[in-house]
Amino acid sequence: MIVVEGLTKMYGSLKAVDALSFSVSRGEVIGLIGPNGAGKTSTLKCMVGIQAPTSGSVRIDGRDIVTDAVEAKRRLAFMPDEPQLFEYLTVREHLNLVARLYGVADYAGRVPRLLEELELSGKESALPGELSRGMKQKLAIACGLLHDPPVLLFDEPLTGLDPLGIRRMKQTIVDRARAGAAVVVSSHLLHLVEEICTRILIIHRGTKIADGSLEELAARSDLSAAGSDLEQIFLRATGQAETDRAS
Amino acid sequence: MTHAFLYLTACSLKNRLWRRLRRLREPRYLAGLVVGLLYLYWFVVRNQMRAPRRGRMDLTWLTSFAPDIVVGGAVLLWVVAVLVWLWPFATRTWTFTAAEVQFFFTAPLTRRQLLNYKLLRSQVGLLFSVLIASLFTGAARAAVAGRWSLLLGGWLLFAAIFLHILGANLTKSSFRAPASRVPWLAWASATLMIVVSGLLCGTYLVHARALVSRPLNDAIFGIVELGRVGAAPFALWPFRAVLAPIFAETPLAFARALGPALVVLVLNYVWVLWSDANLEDAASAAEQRQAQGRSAPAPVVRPAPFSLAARGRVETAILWKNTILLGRYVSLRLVVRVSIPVVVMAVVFGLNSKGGSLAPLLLMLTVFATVVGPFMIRNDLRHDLQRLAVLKTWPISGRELLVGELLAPTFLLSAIVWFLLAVTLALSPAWKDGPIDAVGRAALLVSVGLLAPMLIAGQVIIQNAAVVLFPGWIATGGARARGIEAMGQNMLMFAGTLLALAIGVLPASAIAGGLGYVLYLFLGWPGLLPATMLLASILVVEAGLVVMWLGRVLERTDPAQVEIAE
Repeated sequence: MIVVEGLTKMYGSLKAVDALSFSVSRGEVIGLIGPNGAGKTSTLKCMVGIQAPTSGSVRIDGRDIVTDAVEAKRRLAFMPDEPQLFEYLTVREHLNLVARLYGVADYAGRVPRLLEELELSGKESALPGELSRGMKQKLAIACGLLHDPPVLLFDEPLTGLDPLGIRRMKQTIVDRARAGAAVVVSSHLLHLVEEICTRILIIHRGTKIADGSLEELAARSDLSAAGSDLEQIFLRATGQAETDRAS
Repeated sequence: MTHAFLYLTACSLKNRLWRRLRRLREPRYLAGLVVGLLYLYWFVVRNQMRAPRRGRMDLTWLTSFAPDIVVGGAVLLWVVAVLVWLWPFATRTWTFTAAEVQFFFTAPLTRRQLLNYKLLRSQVGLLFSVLIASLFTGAARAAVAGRWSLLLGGWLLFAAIFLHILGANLTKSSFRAPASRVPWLAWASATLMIVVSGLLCGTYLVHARALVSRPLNDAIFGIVELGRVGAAPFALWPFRAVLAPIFAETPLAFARALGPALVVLVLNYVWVLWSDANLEDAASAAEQRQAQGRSAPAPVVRPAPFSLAARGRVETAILWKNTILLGRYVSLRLVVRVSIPVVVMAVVFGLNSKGGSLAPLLLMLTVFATVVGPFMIRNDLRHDLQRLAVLKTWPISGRELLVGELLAPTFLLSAIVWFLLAVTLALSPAWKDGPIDAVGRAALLVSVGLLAPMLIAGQVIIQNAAVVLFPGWIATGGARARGIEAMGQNMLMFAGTLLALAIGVLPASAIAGGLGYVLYLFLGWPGLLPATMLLASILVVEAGLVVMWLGRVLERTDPAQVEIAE
């Protein structure tokens, strides 16, 4: 469903993402983790067409995000860490706009279910300025889920959510994957990644340093000393990468 | 503490300049700068250089009219001051940035020190505005020729206006408190303004009948003459004092004029410093706005202009969104702001209308809506560029996005223009003595009605093109460069837009004009219609090509590289 091949993103002379390749199948939830500045957000932005890759390609359901951008974007949703909303549109109008942009003919029936699922019922007429940080996050996610895309990309999806919201959000992500969506979750919350992701991709300084299920990573000879704790695996992998770099 | 503020101001200025210079490494910014400089040279500097060489620039007209200009300017300044006092809303003169709030509001600084800092920072913008204004008015050339008083005096004048606006706003804020807690200085300054205005109003009201009966030009001279009658010279003294240095011919005359001007400036400064009791409240409101990430007033929920179906063209969705945007920010403030020039024009034309016809006023409003409207109505990419990352995730092409963004301001302004033209046409039977018969008037108005949307769309395209090509130069989102310190930037933008529009329109106008002239000889005024349609068709094709090109540029634009203007 998602195929990333040799993705490289340069900002001037800085190489934020360096020949990154991976793929995500239907029903898979991949956790994209890495230290600050590792290139996670740049990778996500290239995957959704916000930024053009310097080289390499990203294919969404067979459509190239650069050469066939409109069709590729029709099949994905990106939920950024900071919800970007139009401060003058109400909750319902945001969904109405998204429905038109993505051609969701039956949106009137979907909206109440989605608002219920994301605990936004009763807020249909509210402007973003009247919503809490968590509710804005939920609205951005509702906009992403409205057209039921087969590819979902989340950047720190739990930021600003209360404990109940966190539980529901995790369930939403898992449910969408079970329904056949390919999901990428970028987060620093390793327990979240450990709990909901079927595969983990660790990147450091723009390059992939580990890729596999938790069990596969724990079984790697260079990481086996970390046991099956993702935090230990992450620290060891990134520390090892630093050591390799220094030597 | 002054050193810290000077250090910050100097560092900010240096870094801002350095960043703008580094931006020139991008070919489009370099090309934009070259074109801008060529424009300034060709149309502004070069014309002024044609005047006699250094030291022999003919400024005798300025010398001979200076006394009248000073008095007339003083009356104008008084009117501006009255408007500032009567304006029901505080301006954002004291808006602090998020960083300033973060660093200064938590630092051991007095409010007076904060105010001094804001005054210091404003001088950079004021100086820039004076320099740009001097280029357009010829004052720069005069300064080179020895009349540097025009520049220095201009800076003094702008600084005085800035201080007075700030003081008036702080004083108005004081009156929100219960009467017993209003500071004595607020009462004193308000009383002084009432006395000055009372004296001047009294003078003009006594002679109002005589003024109204005179033609417009004579009436203007009459207003100046009355500024020298009775108590008016005393009431106008502060306004004359800040204007006088501009017109000083010699260094000695400048030094003489500088004294009274500095007195007025210092009095305004002291007034502002002593009126700072409410600065914290005002700044807190600004801080709150900053914290909420918006610099514009809060939107008010009103019904959407039309319902949006789930299927259809995506451009309509963007039109729908941007029409909602406009409807939700329309406020009493905006209505008052737009109404003031309209009322002023109505009064001026009403005073001079012989037959009671509103046609000249309506046509002037049509021109205003066509030429100035696209700068004022900004519910397009100028507002949305800050959301470019979101827009780029939408499954639409750059061309579709751009067309959708252009629609709302173009439709709204076209509707206003058509309404004005329809009223003009309806009233046109009243101009029976006019040089054009009824058919000719109708043909002319229909032609204007066809062309006005093209000109509006052309300007909206240019404004949006500027945002796409030079995002670092154009203010985007709710924030806009305002006030006299932003005047220079606005003048450059206006001039640039008119130049680009002229380049786009003139060749097509030449072709259509030739056709129109030939048809006019055979058909009379109705012959204009085919020529107008030809011109409109050429402009539509031009606009289509530009939009297609800009759409591709927009698709390639990386939001991370979009440096939002300060």
